[in-house]
Amino acid sequence: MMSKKAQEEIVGFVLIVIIVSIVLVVFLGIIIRQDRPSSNLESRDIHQFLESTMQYTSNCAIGYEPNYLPLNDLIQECHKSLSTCTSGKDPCTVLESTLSEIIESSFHIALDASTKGYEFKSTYSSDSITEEIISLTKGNCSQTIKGSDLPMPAFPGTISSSFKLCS
Amino acid sequence: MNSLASYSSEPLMNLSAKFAAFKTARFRSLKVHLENFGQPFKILSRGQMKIQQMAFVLVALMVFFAMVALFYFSFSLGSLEKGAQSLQQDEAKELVRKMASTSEFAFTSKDCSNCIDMVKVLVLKDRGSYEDFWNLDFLQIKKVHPSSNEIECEKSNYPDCNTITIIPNEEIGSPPSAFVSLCSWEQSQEFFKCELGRILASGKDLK
Repeated sequence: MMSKKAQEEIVGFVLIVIIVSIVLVVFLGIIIRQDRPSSNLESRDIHQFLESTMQYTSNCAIGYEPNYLPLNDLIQECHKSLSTCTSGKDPCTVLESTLSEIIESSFHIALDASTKGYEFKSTYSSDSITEEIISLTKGNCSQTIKGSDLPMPAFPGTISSSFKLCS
Repeated sequence: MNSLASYSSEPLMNLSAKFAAFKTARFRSLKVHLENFGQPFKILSRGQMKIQQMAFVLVALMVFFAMVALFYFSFSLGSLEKGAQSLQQDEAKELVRKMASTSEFAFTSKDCSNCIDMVKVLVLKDRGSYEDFWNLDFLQIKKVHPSSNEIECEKSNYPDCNTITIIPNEEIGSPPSAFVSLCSWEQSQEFFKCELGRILASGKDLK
């Protein structure tokens, strides 16, 4: 008889513990879901950075001066690899140096800063092939904090440029 | 009739015996209660103990749920404030982004959504009537690349400068900003040149 009473007590205690645990789990779930960071707007900042960067006039003129190409055209020129700049430089070299200069002057990237690295990539893709045109990385890019893609038409395919800032 | 009486008297007998037993038990309980008068937490009988236990558990559960609700509301109020702040910032950034595409700033010589015509901006800078046009306290356009020393642009020193302040304000800390392309006609070589810049704004609508 005493053991039955003890069993009843234990069942009651276990029920209360279960109820309390469920309430705690629900509470923690709500809190964690509310605190989830949203990087949507930050990605729009990066998208705007990419759009503005693609309009930047480079030092590479193709054919004649002053036919200086904006960066979006310079990426296409780098992908085609058919011509050189009037200065004699390779369009891909100019593209790489200009892009890294722009990124360095736009964002504070350092080991002791909140942004520890970046990754820029331009890729050409069509139905048949996918080729990497340019890839720039700096620092430790283990975790992306914000990033965006910008597609551009490049018949018969598209060139997609992506930029990520890493923490 | 007799059979009916014998049939019904037996349960009656049982009932009276049960009532007598109940009276004895109740009397015993009352006696114990009277003996323990003045000691309210002394358990009187098993049933009362059970009820008391249940009452304590219910009170404890109520207190627990009240505490959980209190924590939840304090957290949700905190996040509400954070949410309101971030919404204000989003709105401010949205307005800054829109500025580049307004007809007062837009560079229309090529199809570019966030290109700013630097000549238009230089002209706007000298027109005091535009200071109240956007309901802003501060509006500035800054060249990011190619980087140079901070020199305020005037008609006399353009393009050897990097900042155009349309609505000046010395008390602005770090206002919302957005990347833009700063485009202008390159006089020496006769072509349209675009550089990278930022538009910074702050005001009554942008906090």
